[in-house]
Amino acid sequence: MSFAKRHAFWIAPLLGFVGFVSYFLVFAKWPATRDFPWVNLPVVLAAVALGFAGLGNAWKTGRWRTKLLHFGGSCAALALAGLLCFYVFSFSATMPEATEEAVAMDIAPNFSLPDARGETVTLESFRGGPVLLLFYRGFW
Amino acid sequence: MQSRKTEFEERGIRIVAISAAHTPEELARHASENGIDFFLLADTELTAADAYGLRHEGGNPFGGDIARPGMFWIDGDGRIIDREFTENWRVREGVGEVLERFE
Repeated sequence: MSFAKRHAFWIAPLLGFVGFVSYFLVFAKWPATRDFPWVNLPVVLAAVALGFAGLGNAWKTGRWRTKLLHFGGSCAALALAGLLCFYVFSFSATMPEATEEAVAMDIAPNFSLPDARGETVTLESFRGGPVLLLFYRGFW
Repeated sequence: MQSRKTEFEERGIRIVAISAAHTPEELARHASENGIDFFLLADTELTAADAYGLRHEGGNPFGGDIARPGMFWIDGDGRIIDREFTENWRVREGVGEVLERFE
């Protein structure tokens, strides 16, 4: 721990960066680590803990260069951890409730939309078999 | 979804995914990059989102409206037999639960 504490100025922001970026690049691909960030939350919490250790170093040392180094590293680590928590727990939950109409509707309204090839597809053309209809935005 | 597509096919279920934030060209790129061969439809005018009551005003971080996420289970007669509206767009049901709702 003393090694980590002494080197908190770079280990803490690195952990914060890895914890933030790897959620989007890696762990959002699997439901188990996407729905709740089981991997990324511990990583950024470690970054927060080391960030505070770094702030302690900054406070204790008398040398200005060391002070600034630890303070900067800690701020970066705390910011990255905060950003991940904000995205996961707040930003991605920011949307309106489904309307009463959406909740109560019995018959699926028809639509006519272009597919990836630019060809028009209607819901009615799928009559006769079950359809799973998804309205999605990212992460699907 | 794509990796377990055969489980849907065995049951004769069509997967239709609608995006309000992508043009057909972007969907084509998305489909080829991820090996998706179910229907990806572009709803840039939000006509389907409005028909299903899912418009999210100002919801696109890059500006404009999009659709909030939602899933509808539709039977062969065009009736909605089940639906699900997640409270967080990162969180959604697993394939097993999705299939169960068709039973």
